[in-house]
Amino acid sequence: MALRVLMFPLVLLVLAGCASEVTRYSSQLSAASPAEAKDVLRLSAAVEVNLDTHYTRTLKSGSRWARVGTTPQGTVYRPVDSILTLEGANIHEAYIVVDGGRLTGYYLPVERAFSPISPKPLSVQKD
Amino acid sequence: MHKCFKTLALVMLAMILGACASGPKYSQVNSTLPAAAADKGRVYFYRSGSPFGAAIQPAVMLNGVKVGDSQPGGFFYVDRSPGNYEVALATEVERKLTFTLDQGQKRYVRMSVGLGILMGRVYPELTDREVAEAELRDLSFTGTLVQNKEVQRNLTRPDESTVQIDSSSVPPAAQNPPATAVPQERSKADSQPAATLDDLKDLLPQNK
Repeated sequence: MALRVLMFPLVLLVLAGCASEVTRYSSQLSAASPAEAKDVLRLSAAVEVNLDTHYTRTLKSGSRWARVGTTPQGTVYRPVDSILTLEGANIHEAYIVVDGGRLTGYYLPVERAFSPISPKPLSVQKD
Repeated sequence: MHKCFKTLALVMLAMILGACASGPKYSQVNSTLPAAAADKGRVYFYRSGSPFGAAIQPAVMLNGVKVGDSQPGGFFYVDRSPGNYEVALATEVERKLTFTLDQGQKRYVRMSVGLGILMGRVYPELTDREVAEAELRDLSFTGTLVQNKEVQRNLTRPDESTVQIDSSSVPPAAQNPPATAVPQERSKADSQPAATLDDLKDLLPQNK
């Protein structure tokens, strides 16, 4: 009986979506030069990423990404004609961070922060 | 007992229908909405007409300033300078959305209803333009008359459209524009002349 009483508010909390905040730390973005900003990547294969907030993000095959700049964690690309957000307790617009051909995390432009993930290989082609 | 349930169901249905936004549809007004000023971007806010959580209509806050209410089946927009923005809805569990806005860019914020602890909650999500345009099609404009005077004028022009709007079809929010309508009015000040006393003359009683 006591277990039931305990479980009820717990289930409610889960249903209420008490997700944890997106893990991130401050990061400095150096903006791309006008020439670099023309650098656009196209994903040749979809990439699925599980976030530590238990949400999943899929970067679609064929999606295009324009270079925004660089951070110590890698080169930052923003989606072209689409949007990407990271979801946790709150929702944040996000760009991808690529280093050595691998997706290393996300850059949150409003928070000016980097959110790391377990690196994932990216299959890309230049547009 | 059976009759009691029927009455209750009818009351609930009336409440749900009453909670939904009314007004011109996006598909009708989209082409007539005035463009944002060249140095601004536009943020659309919309919510599906789903009856789930229809009674919950929180204020929509953009960078801490109220810009409207989240009404089921309704949409509105605001024009803002490029920069960083945070959307929050005043519900039981607050879930914020952060995004950037560029000059000339259009952003779409969908407001969805989720389960809360004691009651439902409404939270904002950034949406792709393509998805948003499709979802917006049948939603009603809940912006203010002042903000969209030009739209009103175009829609009531008899030779151009069969859509007629009178004051009764304008949502209450439009008849009593919230204080938050001011920033948008200001943003359009360059493109639209301010109302003068002549504009209001027709509203005054005629003295003979």
